[in-house]
Amino acid sequence: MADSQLLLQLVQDFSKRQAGRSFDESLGKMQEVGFFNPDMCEHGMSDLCLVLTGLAQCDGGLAVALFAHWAAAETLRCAHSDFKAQSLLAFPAFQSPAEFQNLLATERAGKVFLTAKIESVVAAGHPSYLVVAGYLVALAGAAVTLSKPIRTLGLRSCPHVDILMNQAPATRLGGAELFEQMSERMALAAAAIALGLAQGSLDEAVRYAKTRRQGGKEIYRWSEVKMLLGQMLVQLQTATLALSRACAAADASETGWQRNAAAVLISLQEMACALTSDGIQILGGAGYTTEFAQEQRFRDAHHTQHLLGLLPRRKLQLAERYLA
Amino acid sequence: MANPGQSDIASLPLALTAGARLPARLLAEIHEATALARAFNAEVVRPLTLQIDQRVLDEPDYLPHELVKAANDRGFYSLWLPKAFGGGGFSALSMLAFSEELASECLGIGNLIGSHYVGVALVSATFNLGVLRRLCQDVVAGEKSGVACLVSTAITEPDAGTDMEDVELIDRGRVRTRAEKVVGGYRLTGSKIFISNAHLSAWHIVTGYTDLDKPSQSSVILAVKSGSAGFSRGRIERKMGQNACPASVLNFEQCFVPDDCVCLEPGVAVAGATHRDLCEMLVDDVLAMSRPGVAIMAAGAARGAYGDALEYCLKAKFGGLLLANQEWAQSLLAEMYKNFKVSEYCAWEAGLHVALDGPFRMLNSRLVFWLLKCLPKALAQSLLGSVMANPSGRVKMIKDRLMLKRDGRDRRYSAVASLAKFSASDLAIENCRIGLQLMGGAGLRSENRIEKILRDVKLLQIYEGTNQLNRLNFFKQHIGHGISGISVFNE
Repeated sequence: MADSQLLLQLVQDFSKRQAGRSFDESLGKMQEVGFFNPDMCEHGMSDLCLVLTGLAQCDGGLAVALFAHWAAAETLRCAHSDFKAQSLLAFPAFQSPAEFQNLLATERAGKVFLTAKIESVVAAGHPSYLVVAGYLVALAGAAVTLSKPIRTLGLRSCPHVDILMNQAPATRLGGAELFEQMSERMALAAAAIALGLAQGSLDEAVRYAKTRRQGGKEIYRWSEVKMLLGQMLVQLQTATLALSRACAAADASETGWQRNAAAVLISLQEMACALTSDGIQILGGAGYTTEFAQEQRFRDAHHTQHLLGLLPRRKLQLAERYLA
Repeated sequence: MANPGQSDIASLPLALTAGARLPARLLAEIHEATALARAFNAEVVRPLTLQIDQRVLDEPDYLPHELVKAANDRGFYSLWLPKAFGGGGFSALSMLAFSEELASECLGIGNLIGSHYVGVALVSATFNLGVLRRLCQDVVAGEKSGVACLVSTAITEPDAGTDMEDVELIDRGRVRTRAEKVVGGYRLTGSKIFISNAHLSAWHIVTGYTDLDKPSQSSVILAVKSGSAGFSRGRIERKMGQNACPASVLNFEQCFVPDDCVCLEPGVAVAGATHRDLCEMLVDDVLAMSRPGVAIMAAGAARGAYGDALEYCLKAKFGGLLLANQEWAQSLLAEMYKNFKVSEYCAWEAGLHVALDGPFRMLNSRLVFWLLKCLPKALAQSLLGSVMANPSGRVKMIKDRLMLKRDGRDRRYSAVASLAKFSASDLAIENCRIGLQLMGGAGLRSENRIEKILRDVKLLQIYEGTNQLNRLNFFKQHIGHGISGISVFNE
């Protein structure tokens, strides 16, 4: 508990100091603080989610950069790999292996080589290695080409690249089940990002509603606005409780915690899309401009709904698990 | 109250009876407008839309002059202006079809052309034919010379956004744009924000107030030409989307506007109607004309999102099976198609209400429509000249408009316009949401257009009154009207 509070304090202090810093500077500071250390994944999910929620309130791009690294590290952990990353790891955070088209693994003389184009890989902080579909691939060398950062809907501060591999040497970590194992815990981490984006949007909406006047009074005094804020608050509080409970269940290894985590993730991702949209409505035209961060949160929420792969796929998978 | 919401003849969809009232030639005109938009999309919009969007993200002050010029070269800024003023004389209804097509490809260009006509509609709704003729002639001349002459509408102020959308709110707001009466005209001082096309327009239709404490009774509508002394453009807003249609700040510092550019000023009282009454009708009419336009653009964008999602599902496999062959995806695609079609129906219904019951309904009567189509431009101009020479013409038009207020038709078209606007824009957002879910990671990439559609569509829930305000307007004009003890904006 004391550790959690210290962590929370650390994230809040860190977030406050990010204003004016570039993405790379913030990333550097996060490394200094130790957020990227491999042993971070040993923390309980409650602690990890605390960090990601706090970061996402400040900048969704930083939160996803950390998430991608942790997801890759968690994959290594699930594979019992003894590989120790010296820099951030690249990871295709928005696709499950089932969504990769034409990924080809060949074996020659006991070695594995990958040929594929992996799109929209999160590659923050000049990574040296990629973790993809149960393989570890060194990014240096002629067999691997990284595109320039691509344009995306959200998370524009966080570089996404396409990685082209042509017979790239790879280390096999495990099969398709590895992604699912990793996703069990990381579902909660992704949900924490959705929660942070929603929390940031509600905070900004409340601040604005208290100061903006229309119709002769602050807009929060109009019951239609108040009702919208109330709806946002209900969504956020429910989501907070759901995530908190799901984290506690995961940390205590309660029976069925994995299914709860998967459901909480889908629910929070959809909630964040709806809530951040309302967050813009409260601000009206101002919310549509980059003068406020509402539009960024709206884009980031729609972007991060695909963390850990196609959202409808995960719904189908959840139903399959339930029916089994 | 017995069975609230039950249909009576007056609340049945107007589309049921519109067929008998509409001129037969109108359908051909709608097809013509659709074909023009499709050709423009293929030749100009499709190759440029993503390029312009991304360029504005890199260079926020970039202005899409090539797009403006291409539309000007095709005569799109005058096609819907009256023939008597040198325009193409197309009906406002055919503009709905045109706007839907453009918006299916790019909402920004749809709004760029659409908001030009909102400025024209605002002047038209003042029934000031002198100013309208001058504007139209400049637009037509701009098309001949190759230098586009667009019209912007400047109403929103830094401290008054929603307040400007309803006369009942404006007196409680903090309007700051003062219009001071001076010899030979007005002096205008203040700022306007979020003005679509402000940096691209030659004329700006601006609202000012002679008494800032009583704006509803002292509104002045002025046509200000770019380059006037005291006129300046401020920053270009950094928007999330609709980047092909820049919105900016306009500043007026003791800007002199001569009498012949005054569209409406206090002191015109007709048949017992006060200046406030006239302003209320004006605001309601302009919004009732523009909101079906927003709704049809939403339908177009919803169609665009549907098209992108379908195209993706026809080529992407998931779990070894084509997405388009998976039932859950088929169901979502059907839902997207429904959202687009429902939006389209709503927008047309609203457009028909305004066209057939609105202040310019006479233009859509079979006889007048046919006459205007057949008359050579010169003859139309000559006939209009004689109408304008008669000072009672404007009074007659205002009296006719007052009749719509008395028989409640203006409430109906205002209500349906709001209903269409908030329904269609919400459904368009829903289509983007479903489309993004279907397309997954591919949908997040800017080269795949759907992420741009989402960013563009969000603005439709905000401009021409937020959807929250439009719901209240619908309640005010339709649900709550005439019920004892019920009022709006008075909690």
